[in-house]
Amino acid sequence: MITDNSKKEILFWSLQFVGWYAISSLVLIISEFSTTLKVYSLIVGGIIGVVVTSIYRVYLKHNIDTEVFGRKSIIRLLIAFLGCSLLFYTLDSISTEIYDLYWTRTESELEWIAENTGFFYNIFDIMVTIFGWTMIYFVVKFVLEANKNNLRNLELNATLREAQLNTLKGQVNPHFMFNSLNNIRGLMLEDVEKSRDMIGKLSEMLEFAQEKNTIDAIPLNEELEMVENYIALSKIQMEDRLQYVEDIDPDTRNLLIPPMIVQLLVENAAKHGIANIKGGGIISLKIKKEGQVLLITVANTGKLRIAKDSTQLGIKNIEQRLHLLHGQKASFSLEEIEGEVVANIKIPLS
Amino acid sequence: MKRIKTVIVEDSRLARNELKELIKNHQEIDMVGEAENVDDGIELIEEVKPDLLLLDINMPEKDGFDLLEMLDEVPITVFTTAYDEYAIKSFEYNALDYLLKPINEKRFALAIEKVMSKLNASNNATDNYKERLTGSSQIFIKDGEKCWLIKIGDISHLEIVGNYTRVFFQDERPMLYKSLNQIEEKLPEKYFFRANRQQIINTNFIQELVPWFNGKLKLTMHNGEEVEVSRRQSYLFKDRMSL
Repeated sequence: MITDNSKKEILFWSLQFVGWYAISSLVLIISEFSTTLKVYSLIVGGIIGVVVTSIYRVYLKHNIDTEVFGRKSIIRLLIAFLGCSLLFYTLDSISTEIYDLYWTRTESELEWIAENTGFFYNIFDIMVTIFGWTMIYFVVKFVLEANKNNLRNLELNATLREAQLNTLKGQVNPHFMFNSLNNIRGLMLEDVEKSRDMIGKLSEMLEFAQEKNTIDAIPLNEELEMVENYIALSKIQMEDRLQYVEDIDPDTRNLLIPPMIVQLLVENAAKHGIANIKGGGIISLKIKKEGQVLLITVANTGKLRIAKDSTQLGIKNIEQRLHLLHGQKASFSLEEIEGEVVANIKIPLS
Repeated sequence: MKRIKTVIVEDSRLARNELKELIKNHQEIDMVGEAENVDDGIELIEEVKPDLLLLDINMPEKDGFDLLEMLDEVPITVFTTAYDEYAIKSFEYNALDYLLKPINEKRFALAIEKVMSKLNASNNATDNYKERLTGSSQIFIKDGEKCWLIKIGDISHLEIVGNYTRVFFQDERPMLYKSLNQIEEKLPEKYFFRANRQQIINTNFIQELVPWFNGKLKLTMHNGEEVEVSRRQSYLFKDRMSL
């Protein structure tokens, strides 16, 4: 973002100086003018152009919202345009006065000025120039913005694809699947009924990952079913080491949420939390509504440490998806609080 | 027929059950113990000195690789793991044996066959005079993403690097996270010799020996590395080799 802005600044200032000095240098071709006047006009004219339109730009930037270009904007723009032209004219006149104070004009100069109404000596010419400047300013601005939007779209698509890939790769990751199958095979030796149940849960998870990874939102209820499946399967691996507590506000059960987010958090809590503790621990899931915000909290016993080889793809995936879907209104945090790793998600409801 | 003294280290109870079920079909296997984490596993292995270790990789707090690194002497090890790119990758560099869960019975039988022939080979070696020269016991080294199970006798020399030790064998030279002095205590004295403060050499890998100035010796190893033997050690060396 910072580099984007500084690129824009560099572009603006180069155009600004090159443009104004190009216009000012037109004075050089007027053979009737003395060198003093040429140099003075070139320098001072350039400075006035740059200064005035830079002020103009600051005003435009803060007062004209190009995304919602309505009547208000047009009026504001008009006022700014007139003000700018007037300021230009005033400074121009002052600079002429100053010149006259220190230097006397030659005969040929006076003649030329009398013949030509004098470029930049009347307000109309100035308005035409400022109008031209305004046009260029907005064209460049729109082109840059269109580019940025294109980039944003590309990024959005790429993240979406990555998210989809991740849900497939990350959710029912092969390690989890094969481990579960192996545990179920062991379980069959002692409890056939439970084994059957577990195979059902595992295939539900596979089905879910297949179906939901192209969808933007699902009812919380559906997501919770997957979480429960995941916990049940993890429990045959970790047995008593894994305890799971749920506190779900019944009013939230039908709300729509992006799929696989709660699931991913619970999976992280199990994989990076409980699975690494010999004595095991607790995963707790709390979901409630607070005003117009859905609050999801997943906590697990353990310490927050980011493994060296971790790409943190899961967390990045969650952050990006929330951001893309809800902008700045959604938030995600992960922190260690009193021997627990706590992940908090806020999703705006509307 | 010799029976294979076997230990299972695996955190999941059901996975242990599943392994034991597979083992039931193999009369030659003698299950002597099981552990559900690395610390218990080490204690068990040091106590019963098994021939075969069936080892899971992903376990709480310490993993299977940690266990092997902590052992002074590594039994024949067969990894049992569910498909995991990272773990599989570390095997691909080496010839460690591993079984993917859920374990196929045929594949398991094959692994046990391999273990059996390996055990027989080293048993024969024990009776052999050569064994005195080439230790058949293995050590495990994990350096970065690569893992090796190395026969002590295959090590040509070892060298101090800071607080650790670089192990030279074949074309590899991984780092072992123990000090040279620690390692020296464990090495068979018969053919490992402290050449100087920095290096221990395997006398079986000496290619050439040249008297050097000040009563020192200069050795060239099979792999072309040159080792200078300190003066004090040169006397000892000559004495030992009756030069």
